[in-house]
Amino acid sequence: MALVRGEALPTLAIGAAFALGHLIPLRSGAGRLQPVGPAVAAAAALSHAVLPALWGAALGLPLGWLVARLRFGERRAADLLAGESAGTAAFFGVYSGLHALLAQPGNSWVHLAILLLPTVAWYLASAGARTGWTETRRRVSAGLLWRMALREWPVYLVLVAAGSLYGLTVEALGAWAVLLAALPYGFAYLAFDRLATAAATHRQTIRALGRVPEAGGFSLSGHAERCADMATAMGGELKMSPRDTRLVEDAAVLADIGRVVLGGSASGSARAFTTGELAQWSAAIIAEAPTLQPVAALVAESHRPYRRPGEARDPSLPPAAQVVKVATAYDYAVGGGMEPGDALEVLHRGVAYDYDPEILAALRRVLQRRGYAGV
Amino acid sequence: MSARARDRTTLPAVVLGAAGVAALALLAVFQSLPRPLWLWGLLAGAYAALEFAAVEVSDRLLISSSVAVAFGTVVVMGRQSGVLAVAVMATLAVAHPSYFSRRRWTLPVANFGQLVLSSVLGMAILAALLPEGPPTRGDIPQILAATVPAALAYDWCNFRLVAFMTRRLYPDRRPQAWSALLSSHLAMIVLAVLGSLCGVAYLLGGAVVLPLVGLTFVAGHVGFASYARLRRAHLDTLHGFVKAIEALDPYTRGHTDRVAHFAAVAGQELGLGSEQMERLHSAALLHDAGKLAVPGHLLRRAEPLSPSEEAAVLRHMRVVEGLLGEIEVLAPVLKIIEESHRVASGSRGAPEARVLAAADAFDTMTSTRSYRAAVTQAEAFAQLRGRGDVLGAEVVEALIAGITRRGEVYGSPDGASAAEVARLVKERALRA
Repeated sequence: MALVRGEALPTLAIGAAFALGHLIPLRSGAGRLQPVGPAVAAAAALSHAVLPALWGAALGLPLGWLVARLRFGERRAADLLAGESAGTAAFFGVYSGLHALLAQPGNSWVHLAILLLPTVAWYLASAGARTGWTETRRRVSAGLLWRMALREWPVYLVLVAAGSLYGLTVEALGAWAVLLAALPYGFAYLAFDRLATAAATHRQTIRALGRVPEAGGFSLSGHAERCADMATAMGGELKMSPRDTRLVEDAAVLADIGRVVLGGSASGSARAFTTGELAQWSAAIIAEAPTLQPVAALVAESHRPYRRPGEARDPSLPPAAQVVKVATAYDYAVGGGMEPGDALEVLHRGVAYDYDPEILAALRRVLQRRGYAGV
Repeated sequence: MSARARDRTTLPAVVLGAAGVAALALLAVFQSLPRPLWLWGLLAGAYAALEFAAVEVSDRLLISSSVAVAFGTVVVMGRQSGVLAVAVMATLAVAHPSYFSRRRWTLPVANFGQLVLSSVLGMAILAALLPEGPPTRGDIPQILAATVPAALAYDWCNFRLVAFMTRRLYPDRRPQAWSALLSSHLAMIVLAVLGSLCGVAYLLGGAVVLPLVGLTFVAGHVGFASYARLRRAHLDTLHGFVKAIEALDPYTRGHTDRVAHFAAVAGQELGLGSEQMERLHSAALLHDAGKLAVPGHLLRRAEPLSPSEEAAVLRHMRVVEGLLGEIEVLAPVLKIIEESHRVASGSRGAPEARVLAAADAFDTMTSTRSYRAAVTQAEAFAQLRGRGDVLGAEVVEALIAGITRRGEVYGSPDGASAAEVARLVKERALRA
């Protein structure tokens, strides 16, 4: 595994690229960072022998962790290191194997085709490592994190395409290959960065609007955030897709927005209202925002009971609506001074009528995961 | 398109179209057919697809990555056929399906002329400055240096022709000056440089370059498209919530949209820049967002509020504005709203803030509320002029001039109607 004479400089260059690549990571739509490791790996694999690329990666990863630590903080740096280490190992493991099998790959197209499997290996290994690393610290199930991580494949595709562009043209273009790879990468980087910022802003907006009833004193302080957190965790337990989990989260945040209407009516004071009226008003307000129609539909259903006495369960009632109902009811119970275990018991009295047993079971699993006593 | 607009645009469109045809005919004489044809077809398809996926930057000026394909094509096809290759691509790119479905011919003819003439100018400059014979690695600096003036010429010609047609189509609008669009010019040059470099890479490195660049660009395009959708969704979300709350009170229904319209009218008359107009529009949509958390019975009170009730209203509004202030991108917009609130108490504020305050005041005067009737438009203008020292005389005159020039009329139709409505409002207040 020793380097030969003349490979020291390329090895150092590859190591530096791995390290400095942590300064310009691509952001996924969910805001997760992906350093340019896959691009460097692809470029290195195509333009150099395997060993310098391997040694360069081994050198660059710990340096990259230091760079990431300075740029993004310790927690994110550890997350990145987990992903990059697993991804690099998987990439070069698969690539070395294929390289040994095929000995002398033919033209550029064959070179490119060979890169597909190692890229997939990087993508899966990195997603798995970061999921495992994050799950120990966050309060949602690994399944949801894994499904969210798998949606980030465009990021890997762009990185490997940029790296391959350099690797396949450096012999013909020399240093100009850097510009050739950097310009389209820069275009994609700008697009992804703006998309991630816009997505984060949209999230901030929904959160801010969800807190308006609290600002008016019509709801418990912090209710919207807690409901969103609980609904997301329950969505993970129920193996909902990331898209459905996001819908449930938004619905839980905005379910009480109708209180701004019902909280201060024309008669001069707040009057008693039913959960059905609250759901109706909240859904009507949310529906005014064109992109939140699915959220409005969920909120409109969230007051409905799972089953009425003497009747069969309504199959048209979406489980997601029940998640919102349970999350909201749980938070009001705990916000009223109950312990989590007691609140769960109160909800259980309504199981199979007010509340879906499966949803309540998901709530229990979340509370157990979070180590609440008495659950 | 109205009949008047059609009359204004038909002759210029015909002239542009004829000029485009003449340019193509000239090129057909002096240039040869692009070879290989399959490669030209592929590049033409990419050019058209990117042209259809263009993004509107401002004042109907579109920017698309098709310019990269154009410059790459000239480098690949060479001096002998590159300009013709791109000119024919530009012809195909105006065949957007929507023009056929709506049976509009003026715009596509004008676009044809504009694209062909700009392409011919820009690509001819590039072709003239290209090195003789197939390019080598050593020719790259010359090719990239040639790309910059060619891109500028293409951009300038395109801009001038689009601005010309825009003034004919929309005489009310004032297109941006060339110098105000520096970022779009820079983007154009960068795309052109990339295109030329890709052309050289194709010739020296093989066709494998094309899917790799294409993939990255498609990912970027999809990213930008998603970003644009999310941006609109974000503002629509905020606007939707404010409208929903506003709709609960028959007196304030539609207020936000009218204020946004008046602010846009005044802003255009004042010649505010596109970024200022965007911030002003957002500020107009959100200027009453603070009322989201105010109890309805306080907002719809027919009699004046007591000091403690006024303080409660202000407190609720500040809290909501504080919540919205946590959304980073809204910070400049909220600043305008805050300043516009202070304009009423004598503080000057930025132009956008005074425009917003004037627009809000005008709509309030010309709408009937729970506590008073709408006045006539003439009376509203007089009242606005009376507040010129606070709102700024130029802002007031801009709003009045814009509304008058558009022939719009707001408020009560005459004094008698205004008096009758005032009587009814007073009776309702007494009954309440």
